[in-house]
Amino acid sequence: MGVYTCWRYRAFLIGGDYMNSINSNSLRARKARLARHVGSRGYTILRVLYWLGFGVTLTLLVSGGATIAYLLGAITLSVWMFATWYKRDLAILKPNGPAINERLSIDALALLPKHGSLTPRRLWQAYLDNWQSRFFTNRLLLPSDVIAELISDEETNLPAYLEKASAQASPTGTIEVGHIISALLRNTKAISDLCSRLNISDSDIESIQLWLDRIIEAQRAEKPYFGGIGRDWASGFTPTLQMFGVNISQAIQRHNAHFGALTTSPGVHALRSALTKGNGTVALIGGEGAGKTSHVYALAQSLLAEAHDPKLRHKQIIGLDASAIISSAQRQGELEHIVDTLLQEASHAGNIVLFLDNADLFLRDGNGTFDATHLLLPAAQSKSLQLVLAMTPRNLQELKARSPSFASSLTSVVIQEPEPKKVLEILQDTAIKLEHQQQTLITYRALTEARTLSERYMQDLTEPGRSIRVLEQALAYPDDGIITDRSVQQSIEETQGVKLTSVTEAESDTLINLEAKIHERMVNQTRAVEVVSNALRRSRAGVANPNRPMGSFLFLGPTGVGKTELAKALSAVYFGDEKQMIRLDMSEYQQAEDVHRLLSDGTTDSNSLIMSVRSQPYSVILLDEIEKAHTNILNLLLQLLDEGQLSDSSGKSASFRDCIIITTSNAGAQSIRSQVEQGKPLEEFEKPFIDELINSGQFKPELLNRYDEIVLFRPLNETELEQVVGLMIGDVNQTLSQQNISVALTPEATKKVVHLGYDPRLGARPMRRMIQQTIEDTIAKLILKKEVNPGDHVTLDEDDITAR
Amino acid sequence: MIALSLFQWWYGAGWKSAIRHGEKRIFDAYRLFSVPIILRTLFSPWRRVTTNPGPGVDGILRAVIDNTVSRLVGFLARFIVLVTSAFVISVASIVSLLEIVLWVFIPAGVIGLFLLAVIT
Repeated sequence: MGVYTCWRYRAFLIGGDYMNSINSNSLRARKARLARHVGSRGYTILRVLYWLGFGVTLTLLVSGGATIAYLLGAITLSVWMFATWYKRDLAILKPNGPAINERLSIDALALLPKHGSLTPRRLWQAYLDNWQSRFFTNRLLLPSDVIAELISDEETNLPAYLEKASAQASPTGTIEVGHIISALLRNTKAISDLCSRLNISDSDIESIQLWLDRIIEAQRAEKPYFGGIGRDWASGFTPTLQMFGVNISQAIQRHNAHFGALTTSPGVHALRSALTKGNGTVALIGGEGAGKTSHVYALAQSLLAEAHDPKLRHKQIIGLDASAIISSAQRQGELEHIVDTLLQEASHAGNIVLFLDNADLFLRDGNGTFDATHLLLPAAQSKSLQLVLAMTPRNLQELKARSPSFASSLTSVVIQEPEPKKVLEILQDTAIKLEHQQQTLITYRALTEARTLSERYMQDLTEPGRSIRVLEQALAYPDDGIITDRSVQQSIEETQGVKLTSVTEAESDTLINLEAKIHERMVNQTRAVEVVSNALRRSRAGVANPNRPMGSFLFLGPTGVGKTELAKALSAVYFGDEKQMIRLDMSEYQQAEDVHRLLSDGTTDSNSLIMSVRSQPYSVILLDEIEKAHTNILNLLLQLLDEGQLSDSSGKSASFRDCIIITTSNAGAQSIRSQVEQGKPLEEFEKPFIDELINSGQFKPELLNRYDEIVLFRPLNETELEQVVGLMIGDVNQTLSQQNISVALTPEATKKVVHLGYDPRLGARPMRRMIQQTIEDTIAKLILKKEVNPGDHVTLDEDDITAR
Repeated sequence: MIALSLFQWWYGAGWKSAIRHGEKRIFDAYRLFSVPIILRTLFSPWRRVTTNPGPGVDGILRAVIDNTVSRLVGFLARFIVLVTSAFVISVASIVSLLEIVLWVFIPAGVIGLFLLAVIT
């Protein structure tokens, strides 16, 4: 405090310029340049030299070569002095006051241009090749040369930037190159505009700065003390544990693994507390991906390094490998014997905390599992063993039902899902490890994209595991050798079957001409085609609400007017295949208990709606005859339309946010038909018709209000049915093309087919049968009689059309 | 300028750093040999190898002998380490003390050795 007061007094005397200026010729700057020149390799050479020098000097002294010995001794001592100075002062260059120049790091000072005026732009250019500068430009994919042009070249502007950089470091802490780069990026208007166009926010740059600070802190952290050579001499031998367990503490010690902020997280603190205060048997509860194993590793590191509590001091965590234990047992009872021996060894050793990852494998009988509760319970009750059992909330519930006495002996520690900001930090730490393993670069946007998309598409996992999983998967899709947000999107597209990457030219063409393409497959119903096409365009352009389905529609109208056909056409034209449609006949869901069938998690029904949408998240969902479904199912539909997700019978969410939901109903079909027959346009009676549906109790207003659009389909007239026949003939020709045969109808023949099949109650539905009877049967006979051969074109006239 | 800076550091912060490094050298040696743990468990059985008393006088006698031997082995191993650590800590202390005391004379020593080389 006294020193700091002294700095303040000095600053007061010298004035503001001293505080915010940089002097590239100051003593500190020269020391920094010298330190950079020497570097760690230079220091190693100096050490070798002075040890050799001492050795040779002594040898010469003994052998009588005094003159050379004195000279060599003087040189060696000088080298030692310089090496000591380097190690203890130059290489550290601690802050020497509150002024900017006295707080700049070695790199920040050493890279300063020695001559000429110092402007913000020159500072940027000087630091361009420094790793901290590249940390920003590479992570954000910023064009360094363009940025340089945008930064002020006025010397007078520099102090303001330096002040901002100083504010980002701790009050009297070292100002790194990264702090200055961050200040330049965040406080230049033109750069902010550029970043805005590149979708980079101020908080993104700040987040990278904090990420960089954490890396620098980890690099400079002192090696922790693990207890010395006699640490384990008072503990017992553990031969069986060595055979079936993984010594996590030893692995951490050997690889000097670093779990950063996780070692001081509330989860690890709670674990430590539970191990010392309870009976020592802890259930570590968290969903899949919550980081249970990471917490235990961080605990192991904290026990090695700190271990304030005598009950945990120098304790080692050993993870048991369930599959190794189970596969090693040859005879009946052997498994029990091995587990008993392991527990006794751990208890006797006195310095072991046993960790059962995926503890469920040890807590129930089954294929690949073993129920060891009768062995674990006495150990827990006698407090002779410290044990951590990692399990999901569901596992715990099952354990409570199966073995209440053992479950009640456990002290539960629940790992809370981290906040998004914390998830990003964990992803950043993970990215460094992945980059090291894969020799690649991961951009900042890839991390944020992994977090956002994993939340949407991997809801069965918990954070941070799901974001990490997405990031790991994205490594297989490098974009120009680096992992970008596009790589993350591509991996999600591949694994989830959804569309995320930007619209290609071909797709753009399809979207713009969607109506025309759909009309190649279906006749009229222009409004219905238009609203569905608009929904798809909104979704792909990123305009639609991402937390709801891409589009939700209720198609109302008589049978055979194209409601189902539109869903099929959409599926084929845009989603690539008619099979990309999940179709449920809601007349099969008329009972209250049918809800379970719809929401099955796959254990009882693998074809449930939930399971279908999980395997095909990007699709058209067609719910036919919705009015026949049970009220409970309609209530479920409310949630689906509102939130774009449903939970299965085991509580896991399934996303419907990449689906188009089409529900159809024949309700009020008669009314539509009669209104159309009276010549009223659909738009005119649409509203009163929907009011009538609500008033008659056929649909609840809250359900109708949740649809994006309610579309009325009008009955097809004979002219439209002729077009339908034309489309169906196209289908017939598609089939016949394999035999190189084609068929066509004269206009009169078409009219006759429509006339024969026309039924105003059934719309286009009878046409398929009529085509079969009048066209397909005729052609079949002609082929069999060899009257039509490959390469022939058959034109059928009115007389050729005869119905059975 | 740089040479001056070295001497400035040598007789200022450098000397303090010599004291700090000396302390650290001794402390590191002390921690390397786990001195507190070894002192606390000096007479504990070696790696907790113990025998539970069996039936009869023979069993009890065997357990007493086994456990005594285990404690003796433990004591000997720890005692050897303690003696070694005492030696290493002593050496570290002497080196540190010498460094602190001689620190101030080292620059003079360099000059002295040069002069000696010239004279002889």
